[in-house]
Amino acid sequence: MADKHYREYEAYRQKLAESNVTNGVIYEPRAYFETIKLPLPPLNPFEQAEGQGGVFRNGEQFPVVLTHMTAAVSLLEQVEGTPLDERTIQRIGLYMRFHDQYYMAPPQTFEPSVFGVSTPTQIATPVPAWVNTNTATSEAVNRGTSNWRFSRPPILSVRDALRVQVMTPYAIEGTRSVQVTFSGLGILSGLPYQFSGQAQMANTSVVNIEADRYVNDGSEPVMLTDMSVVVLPDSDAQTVVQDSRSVYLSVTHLGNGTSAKWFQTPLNTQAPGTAVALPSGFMGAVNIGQSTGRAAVHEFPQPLIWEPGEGIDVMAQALQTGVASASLQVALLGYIAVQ
Amino acid sequence: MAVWEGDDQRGLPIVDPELGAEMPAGGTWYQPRSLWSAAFVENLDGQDRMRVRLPRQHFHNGTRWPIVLKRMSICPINFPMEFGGDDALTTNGAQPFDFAYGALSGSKVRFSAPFRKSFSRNEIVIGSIPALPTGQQRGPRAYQSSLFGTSYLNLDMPLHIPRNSTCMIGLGGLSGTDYQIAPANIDFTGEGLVSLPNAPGLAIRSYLYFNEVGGKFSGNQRAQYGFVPVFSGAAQTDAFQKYPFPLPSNHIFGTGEVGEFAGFENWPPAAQLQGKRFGDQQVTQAGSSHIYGMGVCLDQIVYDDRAGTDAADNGVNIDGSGFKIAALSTRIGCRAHMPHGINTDWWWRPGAPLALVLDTITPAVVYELPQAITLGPGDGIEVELDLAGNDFLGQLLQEPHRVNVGVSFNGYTMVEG
Repeated sequence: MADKHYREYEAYRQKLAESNVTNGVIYEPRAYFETIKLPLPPLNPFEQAEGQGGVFRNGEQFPVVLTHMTAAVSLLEQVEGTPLDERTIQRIGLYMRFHDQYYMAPPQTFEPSVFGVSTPTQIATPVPAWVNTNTATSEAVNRGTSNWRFSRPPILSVRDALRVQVMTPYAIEGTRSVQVTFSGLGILSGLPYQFSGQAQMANTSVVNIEADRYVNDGSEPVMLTDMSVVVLPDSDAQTVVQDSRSVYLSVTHLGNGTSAKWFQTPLNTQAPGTAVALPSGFMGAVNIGQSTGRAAVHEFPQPLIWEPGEGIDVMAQALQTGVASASLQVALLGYIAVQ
Repeated sequence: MAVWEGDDQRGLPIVDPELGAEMPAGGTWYQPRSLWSAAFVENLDGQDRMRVRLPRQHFHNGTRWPIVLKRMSICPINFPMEFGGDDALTTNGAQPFDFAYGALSGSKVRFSAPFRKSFSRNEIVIGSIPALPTGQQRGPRAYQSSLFGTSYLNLDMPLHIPRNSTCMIGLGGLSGTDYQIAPANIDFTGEGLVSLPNAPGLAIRSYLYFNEVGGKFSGNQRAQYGFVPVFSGAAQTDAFQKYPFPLPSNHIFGTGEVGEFAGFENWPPAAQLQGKRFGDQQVTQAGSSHIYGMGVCLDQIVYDDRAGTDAADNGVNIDGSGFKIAALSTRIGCRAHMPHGINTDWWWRPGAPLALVLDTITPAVVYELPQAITLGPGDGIEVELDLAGNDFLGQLLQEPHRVNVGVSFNGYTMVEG
């Protein structure tokens, strides 16, 4: 972004943050996350699949504004638990339905002879066709890093804290380290702040990153502008390869925030290809990547606004044979406006 | 479209969906435009550098309306991504490099715009100007073309489509009568692809779409088309030569036949999102609409995996054998216009590689011009390339070698309605 635009953008965001204080409106990040598992035989592999249901709903008392959608295939296949080729995302379709309006509109059909099986009359838009935002970074960091630039910066007031928890449902070679960082600017001084902590995981248990890493014990509120998650290679891995799909995390703002978990996720669900239960409120690290990362990112030209109780249905569909054992991790990112 | 006042985060002006349905103020209509060309240069004489002046007519505004050019894209065309150097060099520790972008790294460009002496006093080293972030994530293994296979263009100005008007975008080859190189024997049947009755062997799944402004779900792809191209003819001859146009069967820097991009011969009907198909989806039946973006998705999975004699090593062979990976967007041409609408001119000379003209998400190197160039009717740009020769590539390559590079200037035109 050109310097001029960036400075204007930062000034705008600071103005927004100040309005938090003066107007009594609190903005807090929100994300709605679910893993949609594609149908397995003997079901029709091209059948449209929904998640568990109830996730993509605003269950809070205040309106939610959603600005981006992120999507990525899961780390493992459903049945065999073998690593899933990330490129499979090219053969998975996605669409949303809101009060019987479709987004994206189902396209004209593929030629009937293509599928070789019973031909669906409509197919979902391929996930790559949703991509309208550049999020690729250097290959050196791209595979293990996800960044989220908040549309409405939340305020970390003085003596507020963030509770950050991480876990992985997948096998680890040695230990796996995750670093979660929140960057921001002091509201009064304009100086940069960074709250960063790292956790080491040796098994599938939930790990709390040390709380003192995310405490604002300074003299001014801090406007949090970005969140960054870095998944480091396993300590005993034979190759230096990171994968942001291998980690899930949860964030809660303690203090002047809502004290609600930022991420809304299904209950009683397991990561594809594993028997490990995913705790409620934990979202895939890859889906954090709204500004940079490995996920396919779609910026809604007009943000979706959910009043309390409103929501959206999200459906995925295999567009080709051989895709049926894949799962698609979908997240809708935005913020809640609390008065 | 934006969540804050002023330009949206992509630098596009906000389009009020309500106002957007009306004729733009002053009766000015905007359409995307690109001026492009490509050089196919063979270094037969072992020259240290190869200077090429691209055809002037390719950068000439022959229309009645001014064209504002905001970005320059440069991309290796139909160029394999592969490791450089031979076994001896790699044994000695020389780092492998990407031939495709190695050729660009050692090259320079100079262009002169009307009423300016030259846009730059000196030749511009490709890579010296900060490029825009346009690339996509790579696939899970090295040298796979991209994770998503998407080519996308965010229009500089929203494209207004009047009621009952249509747009089209189509894909085709870049073959020419002079570019008759026998393709490698590639079997594309099997996993993920379909052998169709009249097109033995080759079928790449693709998806064409326009992103529309307006409505509750602004940005809905109400006009889109997915297809598997159907070709007639034998697998190793017509089909392979035309879509996508083939890589040489031998090493690209080895001996082979010389040719030029001579225009189009093949626009498979199944590879076109035609005006009729656009109209069938009733995008503008009830009224005018605006488009803010357009894109093409190409399924590269099986294509990447089939490249090379050994799929396990990503299809890259140091000895030059096998079929080399190239991003399909650098090997497939496209065309687009409004067959029914304000102005029916092609938005670019048909046959432009996707990578050059859809320059928001592309493997091309894209520069934003510090000052836009406005070409009036009859104006043009002169473009020269100073390509890497023996002084850079020749040290590592067998001679003679060849370089294919495409250059485009992208922006929009203003049509008085």
